[in-house]
Amino acid sequence: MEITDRQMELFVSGFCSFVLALSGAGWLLKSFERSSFIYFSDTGGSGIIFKKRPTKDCLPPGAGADAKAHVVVVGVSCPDLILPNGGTPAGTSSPASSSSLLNRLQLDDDIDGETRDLFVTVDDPKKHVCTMETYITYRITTKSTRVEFDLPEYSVRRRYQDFDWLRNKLEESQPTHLIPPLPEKFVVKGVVDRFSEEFVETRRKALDKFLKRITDHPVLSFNEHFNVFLTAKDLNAYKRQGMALLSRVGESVKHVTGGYKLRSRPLEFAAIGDYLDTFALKLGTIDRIAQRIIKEEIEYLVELREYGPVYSTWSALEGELAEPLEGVSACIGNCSTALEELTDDMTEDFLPVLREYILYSDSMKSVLKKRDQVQAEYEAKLEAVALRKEDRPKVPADVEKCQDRMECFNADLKADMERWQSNKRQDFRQLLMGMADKNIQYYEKVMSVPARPSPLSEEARLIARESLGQGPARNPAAATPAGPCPTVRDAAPGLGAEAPVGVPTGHSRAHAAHRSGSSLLPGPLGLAASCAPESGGLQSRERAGPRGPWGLSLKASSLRLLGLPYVGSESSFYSNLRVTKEGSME
Amino acid sequence: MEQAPPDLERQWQPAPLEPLGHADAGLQAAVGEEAEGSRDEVPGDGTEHALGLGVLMTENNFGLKKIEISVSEAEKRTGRNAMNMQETYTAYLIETRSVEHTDGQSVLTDSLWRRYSEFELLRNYLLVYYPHIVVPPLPEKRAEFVWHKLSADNMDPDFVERRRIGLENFLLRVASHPILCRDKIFYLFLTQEGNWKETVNETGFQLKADSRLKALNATFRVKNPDKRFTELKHYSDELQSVISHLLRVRARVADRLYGVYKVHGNYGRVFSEWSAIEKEMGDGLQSAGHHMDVYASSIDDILEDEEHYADQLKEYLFYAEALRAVCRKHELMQYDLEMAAQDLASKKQQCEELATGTVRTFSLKGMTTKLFGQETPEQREARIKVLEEQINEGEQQLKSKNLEGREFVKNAWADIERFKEQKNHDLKEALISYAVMQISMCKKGIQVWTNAKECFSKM
Repeated sequence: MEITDRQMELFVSGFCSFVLALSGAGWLLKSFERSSFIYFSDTGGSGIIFKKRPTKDCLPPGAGADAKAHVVVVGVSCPDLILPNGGTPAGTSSPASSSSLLNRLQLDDDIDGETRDLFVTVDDPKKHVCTMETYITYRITTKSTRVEFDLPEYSVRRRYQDFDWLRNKLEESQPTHLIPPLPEKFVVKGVVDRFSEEFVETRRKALDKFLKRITDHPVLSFNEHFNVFLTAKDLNAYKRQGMALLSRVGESVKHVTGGYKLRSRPLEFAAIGDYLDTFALKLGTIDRIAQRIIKEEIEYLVELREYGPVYSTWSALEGELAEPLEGVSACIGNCSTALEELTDDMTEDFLPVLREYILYSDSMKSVLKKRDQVQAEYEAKLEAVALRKEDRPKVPADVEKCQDRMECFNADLKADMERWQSNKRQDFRQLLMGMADKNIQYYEKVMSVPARPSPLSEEARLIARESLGQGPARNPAAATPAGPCPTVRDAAPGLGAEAPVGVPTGHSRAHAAHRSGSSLLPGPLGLAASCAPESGGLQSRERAGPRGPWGLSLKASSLRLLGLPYVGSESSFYSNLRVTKEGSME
Repeated sequence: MEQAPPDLERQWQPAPLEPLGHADAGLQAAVGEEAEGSRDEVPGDGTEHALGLGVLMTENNFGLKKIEISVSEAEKRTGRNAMNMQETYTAYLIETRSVEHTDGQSVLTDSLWRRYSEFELLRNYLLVYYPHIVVPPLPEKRAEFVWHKLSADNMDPDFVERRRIGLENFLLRVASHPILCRDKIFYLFLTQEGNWKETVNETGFQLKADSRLKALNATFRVKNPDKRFTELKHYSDELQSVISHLLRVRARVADRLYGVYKVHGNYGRVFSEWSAIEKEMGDGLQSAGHHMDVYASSIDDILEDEEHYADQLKEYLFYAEALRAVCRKHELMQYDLEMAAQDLASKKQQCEELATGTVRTFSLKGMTTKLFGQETPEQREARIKVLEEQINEGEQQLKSKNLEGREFVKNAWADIERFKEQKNHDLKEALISYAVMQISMCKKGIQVWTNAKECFSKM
C-alpha cells in the first residue's frame, strides 16, 4: 500500500485541527505515558511502531511527515505511540515487568474502580414513535475526569444504530484491536417483540456492558469516535462529517484486504485461532444446554402448578388429613414460586453473558483474520524483494513498514487477547458462581416454609427488624391488622422472658417478644419456636430460621406444617424439641 | 385399565384386579410384641396396628400361632396353561416362619411359590366371604401412572420388584387384619402349596358371589339407602378420582424433574471438554463438571424414592375401590331387604283380597275370576293357606334379612372405622416421608451446587 505525502498531509492537518480543539499539554503527556507503559513490552521494542492510529497506516521513520507531525498525530489519535530510537525504546529497559505490573494494576482498577477516570452507564430506555419508524433510545451518562472531556458529566440519548456506528468506527480506526461485540441486531430464535420490556432490558444491559468494556480498554477508551459518541449533542451531524474521511480510509483498507495467501500463521496465533474455534463451540453448547434447562424448568413449573392444587382438592375431602395435605400443597406452591424466580434469573443474567462471549469470539476471529492479511501482505512483499535481491541489497522502506505494521498488529492482538482472557476468566467465574448461587437459593427457598397468607407474619417480621435495628417505631394500629393482633401480644408473654419490665403498650411487648425470639434463634429455643403451635407471632422467627442450623429447623417447621409430631432418625433433635416445646407451653 | 374416573363401567370391573402399592419396606422385620393387639376387633391406634403387620396370628388345629411372612423372591417361569399354550409368568416365593412366643426364636421356615393369579384368587375369595370388610387391595396388574423412565413391561425387573413388595404388603395387611387373619384359606395359602386352588374352589365362593348385574340393578333401585354408606360411596369415588389425578400429575412432574436434572448432566460433559482448552480455569471447570454429573445422577435415587411414595398413594387408590365394594354390598342387601318387604306386602294384600273377596285393584287374577267364574270355597281356603304360609316365611325371611343387614352394617362400619384410622395413619406417614424426601432432595441439591460453586470460585 502506498500513501502519498499528499494524503498524509490531509490526515495530519485534519487531526491537527481536532487536536487544537481538544488537547492540552497535560493530556498529551498523560496519554503518552499511559501508552508507552502498557504497550512497550508487547512489541519487544523492535522497530518503529505506530499504533492505534485511526489513519491505519504506519509511517516510515523520517518519512514525509516529520517528527512534529508524529507527535501531534499521536497526541490526537493514539495514546500509545512508540518512538523510534533505533530498536530499543528509551526508558523501557525492563518492558515486560512494567507492562505486567500495569496490566495487573489495570485489573485491580476493574475490581475496586477507584483509579478509574471514566464512568459510562446506559439506562432509561425510551420508545420513540415517528412516522417512519419506531425505535428505542437509551440514555448514556458519562462521568469523567479526563481532560478530553470538557464537562465532568454528559448525558446523551443514543439508539442501537448509533452503537452500531460506533462499533464500525472503532473497528475501522482500531483494526488491530479487539472490539467488544454488540448484542445481536435481531433475536435469532423466534419472533420476539423488539419493544417488549424484557427485550429492551436485556439489550440495555448488553449495551451497557459493551460501553463498559470499551471504557475499561486502555486504548479504545481514548478513541475520538468513542468520545464523540459519548458527548456529541448531534451525532448524526458528526456521522455525515466523517463520511468524506471514511471513503479515503476505506480505500486503503480495501487495498490491504487484497487477496493474499498466508504462508503460515505463527504458532501462537494458530493456537489462539484453534482455541477460539473450540471456545465458541463449547459456549454454543452451553448456551443450548442452558436454554434447554430453562425450557425443562418451565415445563416442570407448569406441572407443579397443577400438582399443588390437587392436594388442596384432596384436603377438602378429608378431616384429619386436611392439614397435612394443605401443607404439602402450600409447599408445592412455594416451590413453584422459587422455580419461577430461578428461571427468570437464569434467563436474564446467565444467557446474555454467554451470548456476549459467543459474539466476542466472532470479533476475535475477525481480528485474527485481519492480522493474517497483514502478515500475508508482508510476506508477499518480502518475497517480491527476495526475487530482486541481487538488484537492491537494501530492504525497501515499504517492506520494513509492512513488517512494523505486522508486528504492531501482533503486539496489540496479544495484549488484547491477554486482557480478554483475564476478563473472560473473571466473568465466567462470576457467572458460574452466580448460577450455583441461584440454584442454592432455589433449594433454600423450596425448603423454607411457605409464607402463609397472613399479612400478620410479614408485619411481625417488620416489627422485629425494626426493634432489632432500633429503627423508628411504627404505629401498632396501622402495622397490625385488628383481628390477629392479639395473637402477637398473646405470644409475647409466653416467650418474652427477656421483655423489658414495665412496657406500657402491647406493641412494644410484641417488640420485646420478637427481640427475645430472634436472639434465641441460634439456640434450641429458636428452633422450638419454629416448631411451636401456630401463632402469628411465631411466624416471624420461622422466617428468620435460616440463621440457625436451618437445615434442621426448616425440616422441623415443614413437619409442623404437616401438623405432625415427628418420630424419626434425628430423634435426639426432636426429643429436644419436644422438651422445649413443652417448656414454652407452660 | 383403572385410570378412568369412576363411571358405570368401572363398577363392573372384577374386583380381583385391585392392585396396591406397598407400605414401608421391611415390614417383615417388625416382629411386633403388639401382635396380640391386632387380634382385637379394632386396634386401639394405628401405630400398634402397623407394628403388628409382620405377624400373622392364626387359629388352626394347633391353636394360635405367630407367623412371620415375607415375599422374598420373584422368579420368571415358563409353563403351560390350561389351554396347553406356552406362557411366561412370574412366581413369588412366600416365606413363613413360626415365631415361638416364649423364646422369641423363629423356627420352621416354610416357603412356597405362588403366582399373581393365585393372589387374585385369594382376594376374590376374601371379597366374597368377607363382604363387610375393606379387603386390602393387590398391587396393580400392569404398571400405571409411571413416568417415562419406568417400563410398563410386566416382566421388567423394576416392576416385578415393586410388585413383590406390593404382594408382600398385601399379605401383611391381610395378616394384620383382626378378622381376615383367622381365615383358613388364607392360612393354607401361606402353608399349603399343592391343592390350594382346589380347596378354594371347593368353598364354592364363586356361587356365592353376587352378580354384577344385580349389584348395578340395586344401585339404581334401592329406595332407602343408608345415608352413611351413600356418603362413603361418594367419598370413595372422589378419593379415587383425586388420587388418580394426583398420581398422573405426579408422574408428569417426575418426568420434568428428571429432564431438568439430566440436562444439567450435559454441563458435566461440556465443562470437561471446555476445561481442556483453558489454562487457569481448567481445573475448576473440570471438577465443577464432575459435580454436575453427580447432580444429574442424583435424580435417579430421588425419583426411585418418590416411586415408593407413589406406591403408597396407589394402594389407597385401590383401597377406594375396596371401600366401594363394601358400599355396593350394602346396597345389594338393602335392595334385597326392600324387595322382600315389598313381596311380603303384596302377598299380604293378596291374602286379604282372597279373604274378603274384594278386589281392590285391577288384576289378571280378577279378570280370570270374572271370566271363569268363582273358585270353590275349598280352593280359596287352600290358596289362602298357602299364602299365609308364604307370608309367614316371608316375615321370617324379612326378619332375618333385617337382622343380617343390621349385623352387616355394624360389622362393616366397625371395619370402615378401622380402615379410616389406618388410612389416616398411613397417609400421614406417607406425607411425612414425602416431605422428608423433598427436604433431602433440596439438601442434596444445595450440597452439589455448593461444591460446584467452590470449584467455580477457584477459577
